[in-house]
Amino acid sequence: MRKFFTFTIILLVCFTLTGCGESRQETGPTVTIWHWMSDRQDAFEQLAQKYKQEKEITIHFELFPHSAYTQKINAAEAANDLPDLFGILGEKRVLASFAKEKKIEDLTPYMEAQDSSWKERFIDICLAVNSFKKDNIYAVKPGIYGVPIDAMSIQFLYNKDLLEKEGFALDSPPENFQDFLAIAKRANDTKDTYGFASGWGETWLIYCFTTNYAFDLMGEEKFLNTIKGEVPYTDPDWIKVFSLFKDLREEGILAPGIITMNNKEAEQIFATNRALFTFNGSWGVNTYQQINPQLKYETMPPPKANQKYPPGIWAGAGTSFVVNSRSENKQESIDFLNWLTEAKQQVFLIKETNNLPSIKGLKKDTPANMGNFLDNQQYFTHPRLWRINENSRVVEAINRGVQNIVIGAKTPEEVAKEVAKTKERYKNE
Amino acid sequence: MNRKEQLINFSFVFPALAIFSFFYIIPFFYTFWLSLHKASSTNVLDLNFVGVRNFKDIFSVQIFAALAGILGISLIVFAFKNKFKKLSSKRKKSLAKTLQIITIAAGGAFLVYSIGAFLNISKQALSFSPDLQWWNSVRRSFYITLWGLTFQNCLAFLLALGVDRAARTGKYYRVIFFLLPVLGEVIIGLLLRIMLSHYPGVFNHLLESIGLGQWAQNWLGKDMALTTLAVSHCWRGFGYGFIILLAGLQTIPEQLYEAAKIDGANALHRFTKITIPMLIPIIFLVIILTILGTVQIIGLPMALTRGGPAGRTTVSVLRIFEDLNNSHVGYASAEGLILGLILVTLSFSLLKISKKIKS
Repeated sequence: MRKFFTFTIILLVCFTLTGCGESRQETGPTVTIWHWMSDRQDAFEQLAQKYKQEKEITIHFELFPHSAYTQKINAAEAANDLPDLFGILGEKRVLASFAKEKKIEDLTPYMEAQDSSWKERFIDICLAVNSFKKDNIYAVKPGIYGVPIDAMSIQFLYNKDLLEKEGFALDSPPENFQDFLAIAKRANDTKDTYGFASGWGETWLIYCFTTNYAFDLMGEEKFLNTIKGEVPYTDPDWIKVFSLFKDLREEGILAPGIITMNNKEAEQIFATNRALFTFNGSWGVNTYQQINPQLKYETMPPPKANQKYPPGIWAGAGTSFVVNSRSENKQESIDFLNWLTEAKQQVFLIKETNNLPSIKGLKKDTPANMGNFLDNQQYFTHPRLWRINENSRVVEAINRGVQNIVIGAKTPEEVAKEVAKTKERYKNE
Repeated sequence: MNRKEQLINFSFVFPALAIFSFFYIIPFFYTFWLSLHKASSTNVLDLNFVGVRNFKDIFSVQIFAALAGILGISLIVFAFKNKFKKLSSKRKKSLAKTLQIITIAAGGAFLVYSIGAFLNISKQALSFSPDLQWWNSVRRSFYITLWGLTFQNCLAFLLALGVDRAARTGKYYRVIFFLLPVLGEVIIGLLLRIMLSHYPGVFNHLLESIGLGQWAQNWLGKDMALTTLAVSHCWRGFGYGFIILLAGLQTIPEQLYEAAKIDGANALHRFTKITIPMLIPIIFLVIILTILGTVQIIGLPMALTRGGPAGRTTVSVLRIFEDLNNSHVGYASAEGLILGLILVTLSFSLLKISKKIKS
C-alpha cells in the first residue's frame, strides 16, 4: 500500500512538472495573437504557416468564444498577461482606456516610417477608427493605436430579382423614404415575401439604423449636440427619427418577428428571396453565398427622409489588432501586422474569408457582391469617429424604445420622453 | 493541545480553507468592493470609488435611506435584547459588552444616516427614481420562478409518483426525464427558437397541419415571450425535481403504507397522511433549488430571445451580464449582491418554515 502511494505521488509530481513546461519545441520568437473570429481561424493559420516559412517567426493564433472574449481581455489586462497582439471589442472609450493606460503601443512612428508607406496603404476610415486626434475627449495622446486587417460597412441592400418583379428598373432603387415604403409594400403583397427584413433582435443594428437617419434628419452636428446634452431627445427632429419606425410598422412591410430576429435569420430570409430590402453588414455576403449563390443583390444609399443633410452609413475597420506595449516581441508583432496588410495577404483574406480589404486598390480583386459594400463612401461614418459617444444606458433606452414602436407598444413621442428621462438620469456619467 | 499540534491540525484544514477562500470568500468581498466603484466614462479600466451610489441608483435614494433606517433600528433592538449576555466566562462577558456597544454604534450610525438622507431628500425635493429596468428584470425572474414552483414542480411530483409505482420501467423513465436537464440551456434555447420563431416556425406549422391553425401565433412576440420562456424553462428543468422527489419517495418505508392499508386508510389518506408529511423536507429542498436555479437562468433567455422583444424577457442575471458587457462593472456587482441577498433571505426563510412544519 505504501509503495502504491509513493508511486502515485511521484507520478503526480512528474505530471505536474511536465505540465508546467513549454509544449512547443520551436526556435525563434513566437508571436501570440488572441481573437474571437472562429470563421477566420483556418485562414489565419494558413497565413501563420506562410509567415513562418518566409520569416522564420512563429505566429500562434489563439481563438476564444466571442461571448467571453471581452472578459478574457479584461482579466488578462488586470493580471498583466496580455498577448503580443489582440483585438479590442466595444466602444472607442475601451480602446481609449487601453491607450491611456499605455497598455497598447502607439503605432504612428511605425506607420509613418519610410514616407508613411504603411499608413498610406489603408482606406482612410479604417485607420481613422483606430486613431485619436488632437484634443480628443478621452485625453489620449494623438496617434494610431490599431491596425485594421479588414473593413466593413452596414448598408441597405435590395434584391434585384424581386425589384424587377415589382416592375422597377434595376438601376434605380428608391431614393427617398416614401418611395422605399411604397415599393416595399408592394413586395409585401406577394405571399411569403416581405418588404424589409433585418436582424433587429440584435439591438446594435437598430442603433445603427437610428443614427443613420438621425444624420439624415438633423445633420451630424445636431446629432452630436444631442449626445453632448445640448439638444433634448424630445426635439421634433428626434421625434421624426423615431416616427420612421412607426411608418415602417404602419405600412406593414416588416418581416414578422423582426425584433426577435437575429442577424443570421434575417440573412436567411433575404438569401431565400423572401425579402426585397434588408439592412446588413458586409459580413452577410458569406451567408448569402452559402445559402443562395444565385442571389442577385446590390447596395444602395439609405433612402433619404430629408433632402437637407446626408445620411450616415456605418463603416470602418471590421477587425483591428493592437500591439501589447509590454510585449517582448513588439517589433516582430508590428512586422507581422505590416506583412498581414500587404496586398498579397489581403487578397488571400478576401478570398478565404469573404471580407472587405482594409487597404486601397483591391476592388478589382473583390467579388462584385462584396465590392458593392465599398460604394457610397461619401456617407461613411462610425461611432468611433464621433468626437463623443452616447452613454450605453441611453443607447439601450433608444433600442428598447424603437423595439416598442415596432411592436406598437409605444408611440414615438413616448419613446422620446423615455430616452430623454434616461439621458437626464445618467447625465453626469 | 500544544502549538505544534495546533499547527499540524491546521495544516490539514489549510488546503480546503485556502481553496474555499480563493474561490468563494475573496470573490465575494471583491464583488462587494467593486460594487462601491464606477468606471470612468473615458477610461473603463479606471474604477473610481463612489461609495454606496450604485445601491442608491438601484433602490432610489428614498428606499435606500429607509433600508438604512430599518437596518439601524434592527441592530439597536438586537443589541438591547441582550443576546450577548448568554456568554458565560468573565473574559467572554467583556467581549460581549464590547460587541454590544459596537452593534449599537453601527445601528445608531445607520439611523443617523437615514434621518440625514431623508432631510436632504425633502430639502432637495428629490424625485423617487429606482432603476425600473433592473427591478422589472427581477420581477420577470420571479414570474418564471412562479411557473417553476407551480407547473414545473407539480409536473415533477406527478411524474415521480407515477414512476415510483412503475417498478419495471422506472429506470427508463428516469433516464428519459433527466435527458433534458443534461442538455445545455443554450442547446434547448436554440432548438426552441427554431421551433417557435416566425421563421421557420415549425411549431406553428405543426399546429396548422393538425387543424389548430387558429392557435398559431408569434410565441416569441411581445405578449407571449415571457410565458414561452417560463414554460420552456419548466420543460427543461422538471427532470431535476423529478429525480430528487423520486429519491425522496423511495425512502418512505413500504411498511407504513401496508400498516395504513390494514387500518383501512384509502389511497388519498395514505397520500396526505404518509407521503406528503414524509416528503416535506424534500419538497422544501426542491422549492429552494427551483428558486435558486430559476432566478439565476441566463443561457435559455440568451439563446431563445436575447432578452427581447423590447426587453420583455430580460431577466435579472441577463441584465447583470449586459451591464458587465457595457463596462458597468460596479453597478453589475451591486445588482449581483442585491440578487444574492434576496435569494439568501428567501432560502433561509423557507428553511425556517420547513423546520417549523416538521416540528
